[in-house]
Amino acid sequence: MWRHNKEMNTIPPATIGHNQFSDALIEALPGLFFVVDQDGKLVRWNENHRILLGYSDEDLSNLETGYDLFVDPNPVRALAARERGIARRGRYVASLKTKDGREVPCEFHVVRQQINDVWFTIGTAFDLTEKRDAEQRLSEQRNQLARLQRVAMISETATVLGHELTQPVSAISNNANAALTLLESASSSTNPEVMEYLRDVVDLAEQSSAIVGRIRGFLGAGESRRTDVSMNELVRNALHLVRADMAARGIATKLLPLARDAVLRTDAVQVMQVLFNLIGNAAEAIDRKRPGRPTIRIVLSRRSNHVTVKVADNGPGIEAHLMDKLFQPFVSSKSEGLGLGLMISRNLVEALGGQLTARNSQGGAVFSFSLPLNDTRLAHGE
Amino acid sequence: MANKATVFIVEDDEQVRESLRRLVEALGYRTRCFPSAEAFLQAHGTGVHGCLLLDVQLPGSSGFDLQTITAQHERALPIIFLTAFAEVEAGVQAMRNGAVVYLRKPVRREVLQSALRDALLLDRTARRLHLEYLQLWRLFRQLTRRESQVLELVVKGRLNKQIAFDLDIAERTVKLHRARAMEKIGAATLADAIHINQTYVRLAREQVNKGAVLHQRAT
Repeated sequence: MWRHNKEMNTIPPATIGHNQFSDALIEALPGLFFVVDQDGKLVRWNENHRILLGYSDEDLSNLETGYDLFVDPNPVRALAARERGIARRGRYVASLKTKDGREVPCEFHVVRQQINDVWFTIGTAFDLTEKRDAEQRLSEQRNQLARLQRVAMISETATVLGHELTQPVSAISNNANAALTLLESASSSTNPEVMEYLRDVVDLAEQSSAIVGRIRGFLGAGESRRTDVSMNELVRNALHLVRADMAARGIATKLLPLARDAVLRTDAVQVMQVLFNLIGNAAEAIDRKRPGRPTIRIVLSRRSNHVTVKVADNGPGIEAHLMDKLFQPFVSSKSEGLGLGLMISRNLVEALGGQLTARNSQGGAVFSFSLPLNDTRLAHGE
Repeated sequence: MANKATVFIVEDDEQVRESLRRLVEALGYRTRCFPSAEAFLQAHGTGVHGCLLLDVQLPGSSGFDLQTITAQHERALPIIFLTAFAEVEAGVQAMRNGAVVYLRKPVRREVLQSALRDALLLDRTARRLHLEYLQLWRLFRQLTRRESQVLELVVKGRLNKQIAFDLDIAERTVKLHRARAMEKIGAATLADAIHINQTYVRLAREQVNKGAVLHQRAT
C-alpha cells in the first residue's frame, strides 16, 4: 500500500500522474523512477531517463516495452514472467543501454502492485558505475600489491642466497691461496702438481662466484641496466638471433611490429631474456605436437600507458592441470626441464614494471607480457 | 718503531675469517682478527702500524659505519673492503670517504697482495707525517707567548725594528725573544725558521683535515 498522509487517502491512485506533489517527489528522486504495466510497457518515468540515459520522452513513449532499454532483456523478462500477478518487492542488478550505445550497470528496486485490477511494476534504479570502478581499482591494487610482494620476496631470497653461497666460496678460495703461498715459499721439493691443483681450486671458486652472480641477475636481484630501447628493434633482433634454430626445427616465425614504434626506458638484456624464454617454450610446445604449419607469431601492441608483446604458437596449448602452476618453480612439461624459466621471466618482467600472463587460444598458447610506457619517448621523427 | 705491520681482519663468518687469517699470514703479515666492528673498536689501540681488512656486510655496525668512525680517530687505519656484490654505489662511497680500495670476493692472491702493500705504505706515510708533526708541535709548544708573536712576524719578513713597533716593545727585547725562539725551534738562520714554520703549518693542516685532534695524547 502506498504510505501517505491520511488526507491523500481520498485521492484515487489513477490520478497519480496528475498530482503535482507526487510529480515533484518523483522528479526529486536520485536515479531512475519508472512504472511499467503488466505487458512491460513504460507508463511513467522521470527526467533522469533523459539525463542519465539520453532518451527523450518521445523515445520512451515509442518503446514497445521497457525491456528494450536493457542490454540483456532476457533475465528481466524471465523475472517478470515468474513474478506475474504476485505482489512482491524485488531487487536486482542489470545493465541499461544509453541512447549512444554505452552500458550503465544499475541496481534496481521494484515493487509489483495491483492497482485497480491492473498489475504494475513500480521501481527505481541507481547507477552502479562508480561503485564498480571503485571495486575494480581495489582489486587492481590488491593484485599489484601481491605482485610487488612476490618481487620483493624473490629479490630478497636471491640476495640472501647470493650472500650465503659467497661466504664458503670465499673461504675455499682464501684457503687454497694460502696453501699455494706457503708451498711456494717452502723448499723447492714441493710437488708441482699440488700447486696446479690448488690453482684449479682457486679458479673454480671464482667460477662458482660468477655463477651465483648470474643467478642473482636472472632472479632480478641484480642491478638492471636501463637504457632507451626501441621495442620493434629489440623484437626484430631477438627473432634474428633465433632464426637459424627455428629454421632447423621447421618452425616459421611471424612478426607484427608496432605501427608507431615505442622507445622504452628498460633493460634490453632482460627483456631479450624473457623473449628467448617464451620463444623457446613455444618451440618446445610445437615439437610436442606438430601442427600442419608450425608457426610462432609475435605481435606487438600499444596502449596509452604500456606496450604488450604477445608470443603465440599453434602447438597443443597449455594443459589444464598446469595452468595454475605455470609460473611456479620446478613445474615443467619438459622431462629434463628445471622449470625455472617462466618464474624467472615473470620476475624479470615484474621487476621492470610489467606483467606476464598466459592463456590458451584457439589452437595453441599465447604468452603476453607488458612493459610500462612511463619515461618514454616516441621513436624518431614523431 | 720498526714493528712488523699488523692487518686487522674484521669478518663475522668464522670460516671466512680464519681463511683470511691464513692467507694474510702466508703473505707475510701479522694479523689480529675480530668478529665484528664493535669488537674491533673496543680492542683497537692506537700506535700500531697496519691496515683494516673489512667485510662490507657486517652485522651490527655496517662496514661503512666502521670506516666513518675510525676515520675520526687520530690515526685512522687505511681500509681494504671486501664485498660479494657488484655494489658500484658502495665502491664510490668508500673511495670518497678515503678508504684505500674495495675488492670483489673471492679475492685473487695478487690483488690482495697489491692492496695490502698499498694500504701499508699509506699507513707508514701517514704515521711518519704524524710523527713529524708531533715533533714540531712539541718544539713550538715550548715558545712563550711573546716568543711566538715575535717568531710569527719574523717569518713574515718583518725587521726587528718593525716588530718592535708592531708589538710596542724595545728592539733589544725583540732580538732577545727572536734568538730564544729560533733556538727552541732549532732554526739556525731566517731561512731555516721560515722553512720549519711552513712545514709545521702544512702538517698541522693535514692533521686537521684527517679529523685528528690537534693536541695529542703522548704516544
